Amino acid sequence: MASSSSSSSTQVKKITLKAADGKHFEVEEPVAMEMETVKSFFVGNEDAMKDMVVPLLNVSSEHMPAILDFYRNHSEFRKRTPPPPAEEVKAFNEAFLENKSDEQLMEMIMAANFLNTKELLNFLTEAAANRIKNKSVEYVRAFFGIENDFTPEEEARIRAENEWAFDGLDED
Amino acid sequence: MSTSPLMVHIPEKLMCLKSGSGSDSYLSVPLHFSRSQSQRQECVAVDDVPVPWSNLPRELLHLIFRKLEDPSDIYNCATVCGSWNSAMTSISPKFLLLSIVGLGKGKDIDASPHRNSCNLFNPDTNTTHQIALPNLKGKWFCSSSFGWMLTIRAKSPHQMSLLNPFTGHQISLPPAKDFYKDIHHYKRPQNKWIYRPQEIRVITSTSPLNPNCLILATHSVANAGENKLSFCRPGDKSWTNLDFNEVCCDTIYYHGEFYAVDYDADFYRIHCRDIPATEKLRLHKIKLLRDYHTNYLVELDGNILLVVRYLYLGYGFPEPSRFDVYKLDWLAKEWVRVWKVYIITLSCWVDILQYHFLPAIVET
Repeated sequence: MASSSSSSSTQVKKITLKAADGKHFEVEEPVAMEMETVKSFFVGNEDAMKDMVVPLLNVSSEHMPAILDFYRNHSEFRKRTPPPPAEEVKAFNEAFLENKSDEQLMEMIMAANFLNTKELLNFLTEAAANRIKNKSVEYVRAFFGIENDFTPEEEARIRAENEWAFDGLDED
Repeated sequence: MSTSPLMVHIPEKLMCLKSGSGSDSYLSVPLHFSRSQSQRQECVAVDDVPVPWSNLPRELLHLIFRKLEDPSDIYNCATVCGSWNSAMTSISPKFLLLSIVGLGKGKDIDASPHRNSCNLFNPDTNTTHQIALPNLKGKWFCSSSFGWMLTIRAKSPHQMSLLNPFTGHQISLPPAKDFYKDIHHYKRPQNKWIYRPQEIRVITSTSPLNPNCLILATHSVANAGENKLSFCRPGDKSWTNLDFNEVCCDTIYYHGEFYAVDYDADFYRIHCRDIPATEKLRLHKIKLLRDYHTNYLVELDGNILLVVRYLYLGYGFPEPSRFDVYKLDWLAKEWVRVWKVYIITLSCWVDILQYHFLPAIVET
């Protein structure tokens, strides 16, 4: 899927992105411009030549291929007429999240935030939310690595104030 | 978790009023937390091994919170730790509190205090969630601003509070009986105060956790009073009553001022800061139908909208028969009708417009 632009690759300008660990990625210009951080590097910066290397300090090379794949596919989805069926988008998104650990997901959220792309950030934060939905408080604490700092009295107060139904939670 | 059958008949546009505003702007919005309320330490990782999620900047955490749709998930997150609790207090999930309000005769008045649950509607997912709030027993409740609920104790002096249903925060307000204090004895019917909690509404200028918050109450003292609007600040022991001789239908906080609309769709600015006063704005008069109606003020995309809900007073329960929506043109000084919809049936009278879709961030 990633090589959908192969037929016109001779014309498409490439931009080189440098990940946090120094690895270079050659990216088609329209895909690179999906990232506001890259775009703002060139816009209003007349000295910046398109063949310059754009450093992306907060994105590790581990996640670059997946992130670029997301931009390529989603910009293609947006351009296509008629729009792709919802199942196709969903299938891509599900495949994207498959095998991603909680830790990888968190790192990609940080990366998406740094790259300033709303679409990816939205998608990833929703994925994170889905992982804590319908879980117990204890599970959410463990997931985020957070200590319960309520005093027993405080916790009792909150619980007593609003005794919500705790039935039907997923197994931790 | 099931879609309420009630929703089928409610015009989608009304449901979506204001839902668009603010939701896309989070990237640029700095996030503030109401730290003043809870002077806690930051959440800390359980051990020295860095757990990545606890390094997540707060604004990203907020984005995740905002993707939660089920009230019990939001509640769970509010119970995780102290700083999440205060973070959730300022998040104001976009729910409508649905309350079915009787016309206020006999036992209808007390209907709410016997309920220990309420229904929240999520307009993004078109789902309703019934949540149990046992501590509502003995209290009347309705929605207020910024995701808070107003609760009024059934027993005199009718202590009022704002309650955040997710975090359990409560802000005490002066009692409802205090509304009555300026009314002269001879005007009191049989020297008795008729308690009409279903006609009390409270809106706030910011989250009530903000000490500078202004709190405006709308109420009616049956057959007795001039005072139909009152205000206070968090921590006040009594209400300051405003002179207002009209039937106040709804109030709104818009661009730093409170506004009110009366039954005839006249529009007022409410001054609470310096010298308390109400000022009738000179707008071209709207021709309303003669049918019984109620008026609501809603903010949408930076505009003030007036929603006129006509009620068909047929047999039994009154049913909405038509909604007219007007937009305020400040320059032309008139309400321009932008939308009209007829309702065929609505089996229940849902207090649907008594909500305020909320900006997600609290100013502190």
